[in-house]
Amino acid sequence: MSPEELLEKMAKAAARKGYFLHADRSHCLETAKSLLFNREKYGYMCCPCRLAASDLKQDADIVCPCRYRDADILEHGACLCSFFVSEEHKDDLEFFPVIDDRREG
Amino acid sequence: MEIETGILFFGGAALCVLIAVLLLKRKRPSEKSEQAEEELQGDQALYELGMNPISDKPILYSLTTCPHCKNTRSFLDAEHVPYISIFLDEYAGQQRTDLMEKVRTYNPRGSFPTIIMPNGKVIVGYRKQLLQEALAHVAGRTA
Repeated sequence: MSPEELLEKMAKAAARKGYFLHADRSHCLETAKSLLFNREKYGYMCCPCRLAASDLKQDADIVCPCRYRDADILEHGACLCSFFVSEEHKDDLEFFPVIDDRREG
Repeated sequence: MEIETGILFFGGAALCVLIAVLLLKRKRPSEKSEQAEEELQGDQALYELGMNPISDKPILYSLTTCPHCKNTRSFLDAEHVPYISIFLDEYAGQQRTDLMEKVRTYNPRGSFPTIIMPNGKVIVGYRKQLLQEALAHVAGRTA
């Protein structure tokens, strides 16, 4: 799968939840490449903003879209990677909020 | 009739062989992870520095895949600030665990990038203003 195809698939799935991919296309493409890289490396699409444990059971909560996405978008308008954003920020190219990872170590 | 039975038999056998080959070729995630671990071997000098992060340059604990880490590196490059990047995802096993534990001593959330400035200040995430302030402070002290 190409990064572009992954973006298309992710955008469709996100739209069903009322979310959007970030307006910065190059940022999204880089994120998609990282996701595909992680899938090749670990066997699953681990969040590129977090360190994988190389174990799907341990990383089940951080397979993209991660379990924390909804709460982060609700509170900050974007997920930890600023890959998914809320409708309010869907056209904002400069929207990269600093988000503390809510995942417990 | 015998010809039809023969065709069915060989056709079925060929199908079984094809399915077996496809199943063998398909790796499970855990197998991929083990393979990935075996292939990882980060820089030893950087590992040592990561475990004892004292430098006159900012030290970035980061990931090769993280967009915020990349933005931070681009910012420092644009400002012509020399820095040291330690990519945790280039390490495996105990070294990976050691480095992650070290990051958590500075940033309990263990998020990326975690930056140790030369004056010991810790900056978490891509925070342009905090970086500028910290760099100005360090420059003022060393001028």
